[in-house]
Amino acid sequence: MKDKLIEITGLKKHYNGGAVKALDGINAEIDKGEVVVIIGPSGSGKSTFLRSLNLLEIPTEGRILFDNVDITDPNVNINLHRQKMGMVFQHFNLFPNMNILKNMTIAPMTILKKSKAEAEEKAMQLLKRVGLEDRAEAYPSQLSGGQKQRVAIVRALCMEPEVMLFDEPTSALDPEMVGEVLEVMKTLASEGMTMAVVTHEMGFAREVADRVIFMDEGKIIEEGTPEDIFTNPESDRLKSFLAKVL
Amino acid sequence: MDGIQAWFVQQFTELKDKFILCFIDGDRWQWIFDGLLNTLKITLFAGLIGVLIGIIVASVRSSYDKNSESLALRGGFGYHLLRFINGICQLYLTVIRGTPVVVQLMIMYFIILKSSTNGVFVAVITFGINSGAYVAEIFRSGIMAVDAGQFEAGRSLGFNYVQTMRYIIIPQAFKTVLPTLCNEFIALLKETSVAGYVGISDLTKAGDLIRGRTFEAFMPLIAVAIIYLVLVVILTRLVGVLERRLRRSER
Amino acid sequence: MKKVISILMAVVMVFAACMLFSSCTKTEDEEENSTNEAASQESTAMTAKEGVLVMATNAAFPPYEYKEGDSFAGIDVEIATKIAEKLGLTLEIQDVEFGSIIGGVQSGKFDMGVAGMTVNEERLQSVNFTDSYATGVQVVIVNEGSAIASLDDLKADGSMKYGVQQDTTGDIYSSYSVDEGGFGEENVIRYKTGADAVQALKSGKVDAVIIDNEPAKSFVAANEGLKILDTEYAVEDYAICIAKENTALLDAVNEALAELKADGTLQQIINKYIPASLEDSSAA
Repeated sequence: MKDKLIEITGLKKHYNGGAVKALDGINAEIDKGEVVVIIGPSGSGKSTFLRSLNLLEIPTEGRILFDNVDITDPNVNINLHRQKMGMVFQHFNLFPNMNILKNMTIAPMTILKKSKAEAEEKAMQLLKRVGLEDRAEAYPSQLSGGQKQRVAIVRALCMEPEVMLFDEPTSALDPEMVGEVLEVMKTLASEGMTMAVVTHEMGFAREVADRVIFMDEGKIIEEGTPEDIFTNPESDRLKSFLAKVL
Repeated sequence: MDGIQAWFVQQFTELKDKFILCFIDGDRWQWIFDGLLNTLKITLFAGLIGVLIGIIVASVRSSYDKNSESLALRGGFGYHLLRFINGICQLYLTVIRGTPVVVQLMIMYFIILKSSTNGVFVAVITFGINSGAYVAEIFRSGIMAVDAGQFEAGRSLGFNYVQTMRYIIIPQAFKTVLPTLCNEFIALLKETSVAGYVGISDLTKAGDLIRGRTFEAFMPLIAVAIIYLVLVVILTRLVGVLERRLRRSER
Repeated sequence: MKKVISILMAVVMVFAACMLFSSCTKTEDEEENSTNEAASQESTAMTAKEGVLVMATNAAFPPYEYKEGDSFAGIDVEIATKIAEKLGLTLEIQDVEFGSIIGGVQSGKFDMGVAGMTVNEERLQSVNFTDSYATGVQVVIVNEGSAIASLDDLKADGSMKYGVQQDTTGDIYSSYSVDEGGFGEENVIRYKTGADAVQALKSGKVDAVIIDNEPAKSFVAANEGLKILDTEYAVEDYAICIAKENTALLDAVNEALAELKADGTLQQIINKYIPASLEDSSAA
């Protein structure tokens, strides 16, 4: 019996009073330790879906259970749950006015009330793992895109999250830097981190994903193991999508 | 040649006499000095009040802009309270920015604070409230100018709204608004020159008094203009230094 | 050193240019005047603009001058109208701040200043005055029930504030130091208009207002709860000011004033604005 971490039921996100349906009834679940990769054409709603999981997008309808708590309930303190959901953005969103170490320690020190020494020790450990320990004092503007994204990943890890959400983490990178970021993500997956990843990297999906979800027009069209999705696609839409991207 | 020299000597003597008449006779320089002190007092304290009001109003307005969607869904008391306060702030901005400051000053002096006998105090309150409206919009535009991703990054790490503002958005916004804020202070300094309308002896009024007593326009007006100019140049320089220091901290 | 010299040179150049410019404009004026003289032999040479007598006043000083709708009224306005008639000129009234009148007359912007203006030493240094046409009295207005009952109660120890209209006789007199007979700078609050000073008195911002008798009476009549102290604060003569070099106009106005006094017109005008019982304060 698998351990459910996130359970999504009937999730909808409408704009302009229902004229635009970014999400149109999503049911899904993510188990502990599972790596779920979400693919689909642009405008399919996959980013909106991911951003709904920590309520950066507020759903119009539906429920999201995280650790058996309905986080769409207005009376739930979403800040507590967001601490346990690390998020990595397409454009890194590092804080430009802080150096790397400060970027990584400000949240643990402010929110988790960790001591400066403790937070910095943890940050340095993580930086070492991604090979950036010598850049701790640098400012984001002095780093390459790939380095920034690696910092963004370990910044989220500093909060010791239960799940990591990746929103097209390699889309804004120069091709030669994509590899170093994917490498970090693979390591993370191999260590048992629960991950939800929106990406266009089909190679990564095939190699790392436990399950692949294909979305189009705000709906989940197909889901299954990478095997199922990439070698035996059932729907015409998935077939034509794969024909374009592979 | 002698003629030209004599002419210059005569002009110089005339200027010297006028200078003595305007500033030395009857210790009239004292008016300028006292007026300058009042101008500085009004500008400084009104500026502080303005920043305080500006921070409060800008916080309310940007909280409303950023949170109204989520609060509307939740509904209830908090949402209606924020909406109400936001409405009051908007009314404040409209009224203050929609009326001349000299009219506000007279309303304050003759109607609202009519029992106060301290003209400088009335001016501080009036110019403070006036400046607050402009500072609020400067802060708000600074907050809005910070990339939305910064806000999302803060929230996704678990910071609540206030913490995100406090630790992530405002430090970045402050840098972008600093030049505009400085301009607002310069404008405030110059605007205080209408304080004379309600009998306050500020710098402009001092020049005006000397003009009325000596019937000499050139000396007192140019002197007053030069003092304002020097103050503004000093203020601009100071902010330049501060800006450079802030920028250095980023590199 | 070079730098200092070049700065000095620049200052001198600018200065010289200013002087040249001002002397140029002066010659133009003179030329204009001489052509005027050629065109009409009579009196026009005395004014800057042909056929027009420009009078500067501060129309916030009833009953001497005030606005009635879009036009001006008051003792000074009517007297000036009569003078203009006598000189065969059209009267043009410029409403400016009181403190700007003498400067404007000096620079030739206005031909004369008629604004209930008192003759004093300071002013005589800058302009000439005609014969007096009325007597002005400075009085003290206080709130009814005020502790101030007579001039002796007016204190200059900082416990009392005095409201005045900026640059008027009341301002000048009360701003003198205690030794010179005033209350001292720091105890005088100067307002743009007499009405503002009275407003401040009513709301308790000042303890007394020192102002000319005639406007004082209008203010007390229009505002309940105010009274004028029985003893005058000062008494002095009102006259018209004219630029020092323009003696032709000075002589002509004096002549006109004498005629107006002789035929009783002056008295009629004053009686029209000031009730007969107060005549004694307006004879001259």
